Amino acid sequence: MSSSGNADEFNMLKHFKRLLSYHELLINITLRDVKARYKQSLLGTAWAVIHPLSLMLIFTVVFSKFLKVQTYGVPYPIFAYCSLLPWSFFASSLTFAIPSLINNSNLITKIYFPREIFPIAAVMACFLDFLVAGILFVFMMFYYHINISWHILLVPFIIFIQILFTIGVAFFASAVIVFLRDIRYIVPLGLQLWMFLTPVVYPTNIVPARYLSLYMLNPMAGIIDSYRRVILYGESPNITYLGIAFLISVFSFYLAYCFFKKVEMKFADVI
Amino acid sequence: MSKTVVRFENVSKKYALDHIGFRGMRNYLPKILCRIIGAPNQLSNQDDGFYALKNINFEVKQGEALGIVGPNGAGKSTILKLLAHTIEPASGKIITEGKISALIELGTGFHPELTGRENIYLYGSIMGLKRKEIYKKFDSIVAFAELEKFIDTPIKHYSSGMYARLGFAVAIHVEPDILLIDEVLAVGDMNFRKKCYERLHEILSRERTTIIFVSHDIYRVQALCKKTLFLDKGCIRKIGPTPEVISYYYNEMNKAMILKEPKLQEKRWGTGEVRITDVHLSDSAGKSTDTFETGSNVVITMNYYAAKKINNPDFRFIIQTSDGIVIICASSSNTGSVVDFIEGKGVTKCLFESIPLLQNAYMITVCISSLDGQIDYDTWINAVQFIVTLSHNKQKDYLPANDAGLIRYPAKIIYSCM
Repeated sequence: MSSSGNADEFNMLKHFKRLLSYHELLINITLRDVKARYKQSLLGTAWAVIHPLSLMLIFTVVFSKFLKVQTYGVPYPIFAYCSLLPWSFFASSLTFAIPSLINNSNLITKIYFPREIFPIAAVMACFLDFLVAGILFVFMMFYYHINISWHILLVPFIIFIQILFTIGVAFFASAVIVFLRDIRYIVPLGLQLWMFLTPVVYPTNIVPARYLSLYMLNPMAGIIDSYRRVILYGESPNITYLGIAFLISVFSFYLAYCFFKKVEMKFADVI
Repeated sequence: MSKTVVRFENVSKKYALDHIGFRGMRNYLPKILCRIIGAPNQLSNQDDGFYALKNINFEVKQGEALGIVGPNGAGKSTILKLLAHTIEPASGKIITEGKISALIELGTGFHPELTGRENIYLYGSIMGLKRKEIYKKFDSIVAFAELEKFIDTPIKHYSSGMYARLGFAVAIHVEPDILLIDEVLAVGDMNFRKKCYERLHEILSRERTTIIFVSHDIYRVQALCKKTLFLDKGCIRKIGPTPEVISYYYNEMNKAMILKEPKLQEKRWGTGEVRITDVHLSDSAGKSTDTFETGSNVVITMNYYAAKKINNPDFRFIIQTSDGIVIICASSSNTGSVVDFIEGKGVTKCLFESIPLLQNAYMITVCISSLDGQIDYDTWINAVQFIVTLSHNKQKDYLPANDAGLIRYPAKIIYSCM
């Protein structure tokens, strides 16, 4: 028996369980997003590679030919690709996830299922792109003779933190945009600024020491820095940076999920 | 005694009027400015919102079909949304039991780039089916939609009828405990529509699934639902056995409301050699009216003006449903009352004695043409409308709920024991 009319306390476990029971719908919507994006495009999934690859080429020209950025023994192309790959994943996830609710407004007003499926599916679809683009990265690793250490085993954990943070941001922004459409115009600009506040095209130690603690409040900074350390330099990640990123990600995910569930039932009224 | 599966307890739904426009700051700026300068704000003087539904109480038992009728904006769709749990009531309590599925605007949730097959899986899972269940029902869905040949074609190449068939086929295979239907069956060709309704009747006959049916199509409500709820301006006006509620509905709403969107718009054409100047209805006593009880006499009076002498004109009086289906066509030729000629002003009457129409809204088309039908002097489609309501002196044992169809024809049921 289900009833509505009483506001329940936020119970994360209950919501997770319910979400889990909808996993097939989540998979189907993810597949829809992926298929729909690449059908009728000539290059199809190759676009997932072309995007970070072309950014890498541009940044390689600018930051290794014009402005010489110190990369500590790693060739600049792979240095940039290693961070552009997760960054594109982050940026495209938000680009697709934030308007995901308003783009599915006809379903939201008619049928009930957990609404977080839409932003999560958008992130998952981008995750598949990320994996495809990652194949090129593996080839580049061999091409540039990057030494692999056991630290690389930490990559799944870093990806997990990144996804957690991405979904958190997506929950929050996709819910707010239902009420305030202005967000739509802020997203591209915000992502651009955010990229330059993250060590994507430059190494972390270029940041002046006195700003570093502030700088690291951006979880993406700790995450990108960690990828580079464990993959390219074969060292352990900076525990403080990654720890901060982890804590902020978990915390913001929790808050965003609370917020999302709290306003969820108002979507159909406003959308 | 079957159990109650849907219950509304004092449910109200309020929409804040300014909330609807909460999409940009520009709606707020005037208010904020008014507050700053302390000017009386015209915008906020109005009530905080309007009630889409006010204190709604009703319940539906398992296996029942409840029809919801009412004019546009009565809150019919709001009830369905509340039932589907996509919105929450402002106050009150809604209790539903079991799996709910909604037959919404067909095709919502489809993706045009995906093939029919892919869309069946997608739409099925949106409707709450598991992959295994869809797999099992797949052939039956495709067969029902009659789309075997096109199932691997992207549905953007489908015709709108194919689209609708696919959507209905999936939705009907969900087999929910509660099925919500909102004005969706007005699509597709006649045959497919018939098939859909047959399927709904079949589902009802199993007495497991409860159907909530919102429609402007009174025939369908009468045919499908034993119980009907008449909603107006967010309040329940009447709830009970369908025929009683429908009669009440017809009596309450004026005919313009019921025939708000007739399939046939009022239209006129003809050579103009004869002009129909007026058409009106009256009862057998000659009193002008447009509401009749079942079985009463209906007189249609047509005034005309013939600009020149017309030999052997044919007068036709046609009674149609609001869908445009012709029920009766009475003409001078088929009633054996052809006149030799007409000239100047004249009046022609058509009397239908104890009209066999069931309670509903109808429209009348009148026409004057040459006897062979070659020359159309004046045709007036949907010239007037009238309503038939349930007679108060109905025969003993008459159960309106068991009555269906377009007309009632005298018949005898002869029973004998073998």
